[in-house]
Amino acid sequence: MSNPINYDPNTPLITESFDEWQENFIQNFMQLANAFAVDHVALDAVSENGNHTNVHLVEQENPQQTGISEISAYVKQVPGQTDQLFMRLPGNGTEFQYSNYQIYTVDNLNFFTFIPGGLIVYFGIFNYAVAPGQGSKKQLRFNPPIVKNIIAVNFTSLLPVVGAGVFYSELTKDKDTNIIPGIVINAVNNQYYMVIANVV
Amino acid sequence: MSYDANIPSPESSPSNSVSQIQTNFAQFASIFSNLNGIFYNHVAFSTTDPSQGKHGAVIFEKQLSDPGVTQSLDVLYSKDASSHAGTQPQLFIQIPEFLPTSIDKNPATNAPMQLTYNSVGMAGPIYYSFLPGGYLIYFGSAITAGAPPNGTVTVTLSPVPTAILSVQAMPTGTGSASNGGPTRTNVPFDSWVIVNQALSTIQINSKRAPAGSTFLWMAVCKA
Repeated sequence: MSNPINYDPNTPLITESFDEWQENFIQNFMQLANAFAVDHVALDAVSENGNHTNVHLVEQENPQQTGISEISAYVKQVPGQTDQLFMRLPGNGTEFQYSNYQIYTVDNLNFFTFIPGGLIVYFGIFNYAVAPGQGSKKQLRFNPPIVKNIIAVNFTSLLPVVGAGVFYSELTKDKDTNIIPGIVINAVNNQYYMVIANVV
Repeated sequence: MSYDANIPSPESSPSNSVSQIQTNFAQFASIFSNLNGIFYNHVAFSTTDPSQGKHGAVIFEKQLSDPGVTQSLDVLYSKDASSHAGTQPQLFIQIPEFLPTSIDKNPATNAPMQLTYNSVGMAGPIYYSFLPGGYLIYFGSAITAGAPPNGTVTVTLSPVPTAILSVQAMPTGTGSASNGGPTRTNVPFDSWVIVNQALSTIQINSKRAPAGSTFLWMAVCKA
């Protein structure tokens, strides 16, 4: 079994001879170089030393401390998801969730992204002609299906409007998951839509 | 002379190692420093500054590949991203994979998510910013011309996006009386938009809004 290299901040001791502290010096310089090479341009690089290659943010249990002129960025576990990026404003101020969920491709008409605050924005084209539903009322299903509360909804028609505007109502929450699966829309043609919601 | 992690060498006397040891210490002092008050990543070593070791800034060197995430952590990094404007390095985040779940069966992998774009536009009259995922959000106000039923206004998006994905246009309170009618305080909610992807334009139309009606609009596009 190899002997692990451990950084020793208390070397050299005044009582040690050169051959005694020599190994500790090598260990310290090696450990500093190895540790710094993680996420940073290496100490012995020709240029850009100290710049970052990646920034790995290891999961934290609690909000991180910020001084009066500091902003902190860190990672915490979001229930039902995984580790997400959080930020905290100066003076141990408000903590907010920056990233959310996992952005993926739904289809070529429907999209979603996140905005800070644990919010998801759904947007795209509601294809009124082919959407599933009953009668004149059609359903816009949220994909991904993770909506807890709808905050804002907007529609704009793609075609000249005939008659009244667009009306919608929330679908009944799933009793097991407490998720709002979508909205029921009463319109007369295809609509651009945008929905802001907070999610699981 | 650059940083040497293998000093002092066994055959060296202390006097022969002094210069290299100084170089090593100096390298750290140089990296943990600021110049004329501008931080280059790390706050300088100091026995009196409690911020030593923290970051004054974080400079990302462009990466050629995604880091991959399998542990309980997120990774921020920079790599090239393509948009209609070309290819530029942008900030990305990669999180641990967690899909599918019991409520979202999509087996999406933990693909990197683009967080930034080349610029933001706050000068108006066409404002724009970015959304995670390589999206741009444009917004502003536009005033219709022409008499009903032909009240219309066309907005040309700049910078040019790859695709216009969703558009919202909403009339605001007061319209003009230029068509001879009374000044409206509630422009009829009978508007629609026509998108021309090739020209990157949004034509806002209204059946009954008089000329001079103001519409607030917003568009989400693929960058």
